[in-house]
Amino acid sequence: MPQPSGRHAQPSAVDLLREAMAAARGQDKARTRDLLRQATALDPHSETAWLWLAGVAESPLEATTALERVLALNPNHEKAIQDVRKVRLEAGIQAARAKDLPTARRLLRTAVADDPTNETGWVWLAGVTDSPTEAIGHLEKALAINPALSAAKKGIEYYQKKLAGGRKTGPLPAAATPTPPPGALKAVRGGPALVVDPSRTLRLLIGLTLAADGFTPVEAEDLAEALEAAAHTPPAVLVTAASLPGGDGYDLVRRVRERRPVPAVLLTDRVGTFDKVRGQWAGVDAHLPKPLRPAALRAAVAGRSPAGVAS
Amino acid sequence: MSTALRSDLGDDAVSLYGPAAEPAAPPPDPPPPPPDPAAWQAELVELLAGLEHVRWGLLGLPLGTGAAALLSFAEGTLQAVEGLAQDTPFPPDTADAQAEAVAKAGAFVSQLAALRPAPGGLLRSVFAAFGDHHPLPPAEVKACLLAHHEALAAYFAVFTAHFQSSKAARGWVSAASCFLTDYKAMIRDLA
Repeated sequence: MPQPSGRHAQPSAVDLLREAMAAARGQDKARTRDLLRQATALDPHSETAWLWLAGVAESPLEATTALERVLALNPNHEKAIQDVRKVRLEAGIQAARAKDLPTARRLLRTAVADDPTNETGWVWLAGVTDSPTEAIGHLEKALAINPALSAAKKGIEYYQKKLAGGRKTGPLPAAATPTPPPGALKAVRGGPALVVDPSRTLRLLIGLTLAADGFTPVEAEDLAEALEAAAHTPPAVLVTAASLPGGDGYDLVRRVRERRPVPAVLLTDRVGTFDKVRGQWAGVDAHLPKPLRPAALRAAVAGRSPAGVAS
Repeated sequence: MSTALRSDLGDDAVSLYGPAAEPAAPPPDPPPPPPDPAAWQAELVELLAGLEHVRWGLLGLPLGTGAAALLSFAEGTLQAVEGLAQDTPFPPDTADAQAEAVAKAGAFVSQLAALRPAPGGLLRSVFAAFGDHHPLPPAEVKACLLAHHEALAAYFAVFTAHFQSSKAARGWVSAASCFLTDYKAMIRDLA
């Protein structure tokens, strides 16, 4: 029996978006992503498809690319403007780790241009830059933002030595690989770690775990206290429960990262696709299921810090 | 000379040959190596995080209908703690503390058994069979949970003694004390 006309025709981008929505409801993130990739290939002018794809992207780099496509189509897209600022730094770091220097440099330069007060961005940019002189300039900017940043000091010393050595031996070789200075590798380590959970015991346990990597835990019990603590002591890393008195962890991550893109880890009872998508929009770097597993937390935080480049 | 022959000879054998030689005792086991402080702490953090996670989920549970869940929590958490204790080669100087912990765990188990209808069985199924028609006596449930609290505290003391220094144990002690305080408050507030 002949099928109705068009039954087997190639689905339209809208059809794919509908399917993607259904897949997202079914918590099938991989299929959602696949359908959205097809939709963007079929209709590269679909803002919606690019925006959704950014939400389920496999990596910060893919999310950044998708958001940049949205902005190419609609430069005034407020959500894309906000979100790309949050993920661009992560994407730059990812590119640096993958030793994709041109991409890393482009993204990190844009990231620090978006937020010149972001010391992490300057440190990473120093690590992927071509010359020690330029690297020193970036690290000096990081130091101007945070004079206590010993990593930047050590980094400057490192590059100054390198510079002195280079002068003796001839022209400076261009950096072949993104190798942040030794001190800069610990840029995110050793700083304040904002730990937010309604359970006092859990806060102490998280703090204890992070202290093993040199962080100084700053505790908060609820959303209001966490925001106050973040304003008073800008954190180098944020670890929060998903459920908080007075709000939730997603909201906290979003609001803290509006100031600076700190690595954020969310501890939650459930880690479904929607939670991850929601987390990604908020700027969550890693979801970890409760109960806390110290090794997983340390790995998640280490994986989001510049130290990851060295490993 | 065989033992039987010595027996036949009676006291003469002792006078002739001296007392039977006892088999040489094996050399004492060397003391267990001290734990890696970071690894030991991580193990304790994981254990306590698990206990706190379950405890947190039970907050606000009414004593009447939640007694079974509370006792299951107590039984399960003590098993977890005992499991870690059994798997850990503690040094001999913690023997007294270990004995005290085992005694307190025994006290809890006795109280738990008294709350269980004979002949025992899985707590959950028994309570389910009883349902709401036969609520457990609240005072006895609270007493049982307090005994559980005491047992946990005793085991935590053993775990603390396994650190090489009080400085190394400081973080764990703070977290464990906090847990025990909150747990006791939770028991007190049960209604």
